[in-house]
Amino acid sequence: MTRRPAHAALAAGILAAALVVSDPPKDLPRRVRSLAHYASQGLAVRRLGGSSTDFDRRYFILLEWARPRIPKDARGLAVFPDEEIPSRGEYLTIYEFAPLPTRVAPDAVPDGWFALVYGTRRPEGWRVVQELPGGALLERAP
Amino acid sequence: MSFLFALLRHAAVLVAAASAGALVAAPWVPGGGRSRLASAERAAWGTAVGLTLIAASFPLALLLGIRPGWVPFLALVAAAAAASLLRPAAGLAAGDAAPAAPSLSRGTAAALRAIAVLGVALFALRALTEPMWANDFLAIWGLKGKTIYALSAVPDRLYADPSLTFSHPEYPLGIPFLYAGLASLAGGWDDHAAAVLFPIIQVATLCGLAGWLRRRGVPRAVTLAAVAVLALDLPLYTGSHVGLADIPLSFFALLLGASLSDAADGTDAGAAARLALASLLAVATKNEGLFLAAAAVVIGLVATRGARRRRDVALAIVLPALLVLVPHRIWRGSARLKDFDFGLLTPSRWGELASRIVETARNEALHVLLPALTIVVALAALFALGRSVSWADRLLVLAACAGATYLALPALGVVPGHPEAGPLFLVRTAVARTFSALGPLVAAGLAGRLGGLVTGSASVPAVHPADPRYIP
Repeated sequence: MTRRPAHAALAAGILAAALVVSDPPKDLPRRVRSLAHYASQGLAVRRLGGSSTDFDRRYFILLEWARPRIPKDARGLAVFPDEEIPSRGEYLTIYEFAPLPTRVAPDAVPDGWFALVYGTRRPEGWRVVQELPGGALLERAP
Repeated sequence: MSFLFALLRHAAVLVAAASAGALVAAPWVPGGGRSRLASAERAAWGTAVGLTLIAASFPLALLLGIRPGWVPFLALVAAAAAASLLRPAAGLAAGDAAPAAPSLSRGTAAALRAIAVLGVALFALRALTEPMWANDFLAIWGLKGKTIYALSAVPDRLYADPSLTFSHPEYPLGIPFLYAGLASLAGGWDDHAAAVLFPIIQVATLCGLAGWLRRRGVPRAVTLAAVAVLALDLPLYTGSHVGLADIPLSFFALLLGASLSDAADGTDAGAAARLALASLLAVATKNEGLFLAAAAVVIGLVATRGARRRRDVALAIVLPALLVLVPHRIWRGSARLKDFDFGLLTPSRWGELASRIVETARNEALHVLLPALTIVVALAALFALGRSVSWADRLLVLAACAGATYLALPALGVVPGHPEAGPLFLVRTAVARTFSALGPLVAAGLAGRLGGLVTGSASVPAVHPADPRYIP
């Protein structure tokens, strides 16, 4: 019998420890608290409290307010944040409104599309359909 | 609706599908007839079949013009079960044995099992804390799945809209169909509860690893240690991978490697069928899966003896891959891999390519190798301490082929040096993640090599499952 099995056990132990240290579970108490706090809430509230909205949670509140208020006949939605949002904010916006075609800050808005503006700016040539917390839903003025 | 109720509903759908899958898979997975459907290896293959049935039921319904949901799913399950019942259940395979290894103390076994359970619990907590949030879930897999589910169609704009190029139209649709199928069975799109898919895949991977190693004669101590270490593979089983294709691919890569090795050795009559399913799943999941299947063909041709068996192995991998690729190609045409500039491979640009290789290697050393140095050294030590075992080494060769490619590909990344694209971007965002998906494959290969150490011989003496010493 050689010492190889013992060395292998040691190497496996070091490997396991290194794998754990690579992503230490210090986040567990926070996760347990978060799960306990949000588990009884609706899906949108759970996303609001999560990582995907931490770049600007007010922005996500606007998206959630707008979602049920977009007319059924809308062909798409152009979303205009008040300032440049990170790429994950863009992905989140397009994902949230899927399957409705959605673009973030497009150069041109196709016919039949609505616009969602974050902030107080109200672009010319657009009519406010509804004021929402943090912004407004607009349609092209006739 | 509360999270717990939705979670239980999604979990119930997945467990039901896996159970149906275990029934369907029985004739093709060794383990002693239909009475032992709950064996570890059958649980793994059953999960793979169950996921296939969920994902396939959605496009099948679209093709037939019926509403996706339980009707097409149950019809597919019934058809698959009928085909399965026509075959006799698999008995014991040639390698369906366990070794006469030194006994493992109850305490050690319990400790290793506890570590594995801890790893699963840790990942489950991370996976289920919040709705799936990773960039690639929102931009690629979730966006496609949600769109396909909501429209009950695959809209052209997923491919034609220039503003959606970030969603990678060139990626296969297996995962989006799986999400859409799960939502259609669970009663709605819930991107939080659906995350339960990932811990379930982790458990299936651990079952697949344990079941295959035990059947191949690896002692219980080594098998349990491999399972415990893999369960703690936090670079793979981490919250940021939830919703992405890497964890499913890691499962399918393990199944591909194990069934490839079984088919090459001709361990049992079902090996080729398992290989075919694993190839189909790998190719339908990610482009890396297509590469793994291609590498598996080469390894299979080299490793298999006999022209007929060699042909069977190659066909078992290639035909399912074509089943995924050809319809996709006919339907959508060819799509360029948008992250890469393959023009760099032309001789006139070799100078540029050389400088990119240097840049890539430097960044990989800094951002990938250095942070994982202890892990790499430990893996190298385990490899060196083990003994060459052909059936296990094949999995490591497969992993090495993929690893070498993953290291090389960033050199072809578009826009060199740009913070948001090019080699540095790919090194930072993709290399470690794609490497982590090789974890189960590497665990199986290393455990196979280490199996002989405990018994003191390279070829492990076997105990037939009918022997009282056999511990399943």
